[in-house]
Amino acid sequence: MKYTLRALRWATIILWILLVFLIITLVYSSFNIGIDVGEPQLLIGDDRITWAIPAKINNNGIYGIYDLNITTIIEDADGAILLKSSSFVPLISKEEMHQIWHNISISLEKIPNYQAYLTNDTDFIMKHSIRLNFAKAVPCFFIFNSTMPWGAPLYNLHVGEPNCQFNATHCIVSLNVSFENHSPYINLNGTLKVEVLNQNEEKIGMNSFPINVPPYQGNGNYPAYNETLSIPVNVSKLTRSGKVRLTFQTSMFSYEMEVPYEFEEIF
Amino acid sequence: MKRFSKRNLSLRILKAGVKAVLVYIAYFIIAYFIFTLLIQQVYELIGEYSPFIEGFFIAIAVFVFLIEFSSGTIFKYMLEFARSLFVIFYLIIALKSGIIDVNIQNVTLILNLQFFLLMLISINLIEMARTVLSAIDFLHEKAEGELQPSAGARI
Repeated sequence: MKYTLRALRWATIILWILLVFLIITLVYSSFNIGIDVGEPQLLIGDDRITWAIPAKINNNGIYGIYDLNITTIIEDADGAILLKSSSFVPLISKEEMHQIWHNISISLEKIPNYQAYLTNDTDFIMKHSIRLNFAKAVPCFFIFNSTMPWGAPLYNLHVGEPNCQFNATHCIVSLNVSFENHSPYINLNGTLKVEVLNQNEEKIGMNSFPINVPPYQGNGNYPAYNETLSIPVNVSKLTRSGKVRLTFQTSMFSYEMEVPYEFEEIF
Repeated sequence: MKRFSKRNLSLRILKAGVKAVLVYIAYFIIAYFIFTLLIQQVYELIGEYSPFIEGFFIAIAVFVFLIEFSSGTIFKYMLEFARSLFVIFYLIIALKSGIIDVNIQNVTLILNLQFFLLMLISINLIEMARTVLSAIDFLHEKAEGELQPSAGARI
């Protein structure tokens, strides 16, 4: 019995020493991890906007960092998930410095109901989470939220009532289009295609106009577009009512809208 | 009960009291060193748990007093067993089954300390087993001690 009791006593002592040693070394190691998050870089491609966030992790501790997973979820004001972006590092060994680029890439056309964000300013909620397993003994999970103001590239889009001007040979439909580019990222460089359709949905006139509205610079003056567009139409097929279809085509998105017309005075 | 004479009783109380006070002083020294070494954010993190830590050390000091006071009796082993059981349940409750979450400014930190909880529970289970065996050993020796004079008388 004495030997059993002595063995159990020693087992307890050894386990306590191991536990205390582990706690002290883990705390010491965690204090020796340097994390340096750099300035996010904005990369604007043809069809997407990318924020590249650089981070340097300097592991000067005595344990490795396993399964580091950085995830960013962007949600709209109602909590609907717009996009999810993850970066994964399987291992940052001790005495190792690791450079991570966490990329958050927005492709407008891949966002559900993205057209609503073309004409309305809003605040997106960015949910960041960092998951890691420290020394394969302490899984940690960090969560923090931030908001990202979203400026609509076609804010306050207004299409005036179409007018028709006749002369002896042809008819010109004219309408005014105006909007402001509230987006600090999107350079609206593309075309605005305008089609005039009669009552039978036949295309009776079409014209394309270049648009070039620079992104908002943050100085309080929003770059604006305000043009009166003229479209020659086929008089023989012109009906009293119909619609005008406007299609904004840029490398980043395409947006279509229709406005009805009624030329009562002509018929 | 022979051992609980008036003089012996006051000595026991004194000895037990000193041990209990030493445990509590040890807590203050550890707490002082830990809290002065920590940076503000970590202090805030642990600060939420300071009533739990203080409560734990008060309970341990009470157990130390009672165990020392009842030393040489079977109650000592019963109290040691109770202490181990208390430590296990206290740790499970205080550490929220090993998963603790803390908020520092707008950052939520979730720590999975189940590995350490498991280790602490294992240590206390071994301690409980040791206490039970010690109690059996104590009773065995006590029985032997009671038997020996009568056996000698027969011879």
